[in-house]
Amino acid sequence: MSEGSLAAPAAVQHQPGALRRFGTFARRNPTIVIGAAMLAAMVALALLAPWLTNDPMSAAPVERLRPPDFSDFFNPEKRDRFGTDNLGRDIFARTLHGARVSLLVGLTVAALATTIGLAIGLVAGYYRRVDAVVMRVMDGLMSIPSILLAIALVALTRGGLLLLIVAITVPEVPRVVRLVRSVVLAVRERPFVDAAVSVGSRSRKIIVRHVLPLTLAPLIVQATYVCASAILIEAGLSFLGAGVPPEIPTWGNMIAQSRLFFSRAPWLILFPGAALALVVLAVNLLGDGLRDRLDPRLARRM
Amino acid sequence: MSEVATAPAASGATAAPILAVEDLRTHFFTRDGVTRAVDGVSFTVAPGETLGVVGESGCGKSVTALSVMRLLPPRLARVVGGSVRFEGQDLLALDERAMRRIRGNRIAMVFQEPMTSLNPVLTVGDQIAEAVMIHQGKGRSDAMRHAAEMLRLVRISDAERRVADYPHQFSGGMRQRVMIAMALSCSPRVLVADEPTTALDVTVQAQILKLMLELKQATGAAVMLITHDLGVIAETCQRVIVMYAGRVVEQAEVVELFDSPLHPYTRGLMASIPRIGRGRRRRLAEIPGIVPDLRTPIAGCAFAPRCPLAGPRCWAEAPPLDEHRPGHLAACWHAGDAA
Repeated sequence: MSEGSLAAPAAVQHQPGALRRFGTFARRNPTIVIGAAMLAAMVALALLAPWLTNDPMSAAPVERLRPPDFSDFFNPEKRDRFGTDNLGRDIFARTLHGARVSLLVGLTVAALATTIGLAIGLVAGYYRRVDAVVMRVMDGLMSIPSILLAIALVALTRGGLLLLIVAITVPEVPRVVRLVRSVVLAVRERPFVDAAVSVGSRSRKIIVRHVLPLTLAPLIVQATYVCASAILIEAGLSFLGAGVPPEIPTWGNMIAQSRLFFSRAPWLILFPGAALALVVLAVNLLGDGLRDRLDPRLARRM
Repeated sequence: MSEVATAPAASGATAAPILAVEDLRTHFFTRDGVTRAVDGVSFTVAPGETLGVVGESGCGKSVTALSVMRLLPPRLARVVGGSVRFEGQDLLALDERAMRRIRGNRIAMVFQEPMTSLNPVLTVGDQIAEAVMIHQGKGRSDAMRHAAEMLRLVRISDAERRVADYPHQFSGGMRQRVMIAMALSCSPRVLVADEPTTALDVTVQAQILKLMLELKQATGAAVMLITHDLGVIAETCQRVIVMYAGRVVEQAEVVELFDSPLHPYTRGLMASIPRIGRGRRRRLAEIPGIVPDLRTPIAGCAFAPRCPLAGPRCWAEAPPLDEHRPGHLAACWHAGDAA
């Protein structure tokens, strides 16, 4: 290595730059890159919304129901880039701010549901005694429709984002538990678990070190699907009026409030609807790509 | 390190045995009834000795090993009688905590399937280091250094770099070397090897056996080698027990056993080894019949239905495992005639 000039160019060739490696990765896993890029763009837009747009709440009745005008698009002061709604509010601003709620709900629910589901699934799969009880409880939870649960919770309390997240998470947890449990049941029968026992490892260590890593690949994929479905459920709940309070701009709220006007002003529904579809598509693309990538049988070839 | 001082007075064996299995009975509780997989097995292993356990599939060899390690599938199988004394301590009476301190530390096991006995998502170094970290309380970096040392010991070249490799980057034979490194990482006193070479091809088998014997010499560990291959037994063991239908049917020094097998089953096993260059056109000898169903209790000798010598007494009464020659035990009513 140290005897310089001859070895150096060879080393450069053998270690392609980060950019080239990324290029190779992108060519082999286009769905991951496209999904992740779309999602990253959405997150960036959502985070930067206050600087890119007007106040999403300010109404201007004079300018109501203006059609979209894409000219001078990058002027943050312009109110009718995506048109305005029936109260003259900026739809571009509201769509971007709506992304914050949607992404927050999607990511939080995915994180919560997978974490809780992973913990319960590992225990249920590994300790057969716990399994029978836990899985019956999960079956019970699974039979609760999230929409009804959310409506009930909102009716009992005053509603709010946290409550909404809880209402969407609860019915998602059993799905994760079932997935993790099924992986654990298969993994615990594999000889390396016996081998780990035979060197004196305790159960807790075997679960964390030997079983948990094998559940991660399907779990990550499942997390993306949970995320996508949480975003859709949130939009549905908001549309029904059981989600986020109506004054907060979310895609579901926007679509719900535009119901009466959409035949005259279709952009009221078009933009939040398209944003919703794009986010869910991005998350699902990412999930599908990860599934292909993380499948050990396919990963070997890459 | 050693608390060997309290070794029990063991009768018969020349040195105090490090492992003494006495009348071990392991039953499987299945939906169709109780299977007596191991039905009164006794043997001892002396320090530094290699004991071969031979028999055909389903004779209880592996179950015996798993009973010793207490690795039987829970709720399906249970040791229902007997004792397993290791350095004077009855392993069957220990609680799980105490047993964990022995497993991998004082008694280690090498499994049959090197392809599946390693965790695919952990590096081999991590897996070898696991036992070291558990039993010797070493930190991770110390344990990894020890793991590299073990890999070098099992003749894996470039060991320092290969500790960071994953199992799929190793061939079958190399994985079995890794398993051996894992088992020997805490210098156990007894190594239980359950068909360690069965899944490997023949040339690799020889290498692995040679390696195991060398490492045994180096560490002074006793080995309990389970196999169905009499050739492996002949090459590696000092003493042999032959198992049939959950019982020991013959036990002898290896040379004695091959020179003058007393039990008809052992003789049948030996006759069924193909030999090159002798009797070219002769049909390979086989033992007629199949292994008896272990779910129904067997009144007489378990081998009687397949035995060419079986007489009325064989069907009625189970033969005891008696010493017919010095150090040579057989459970056969006709062993006396042969001896």
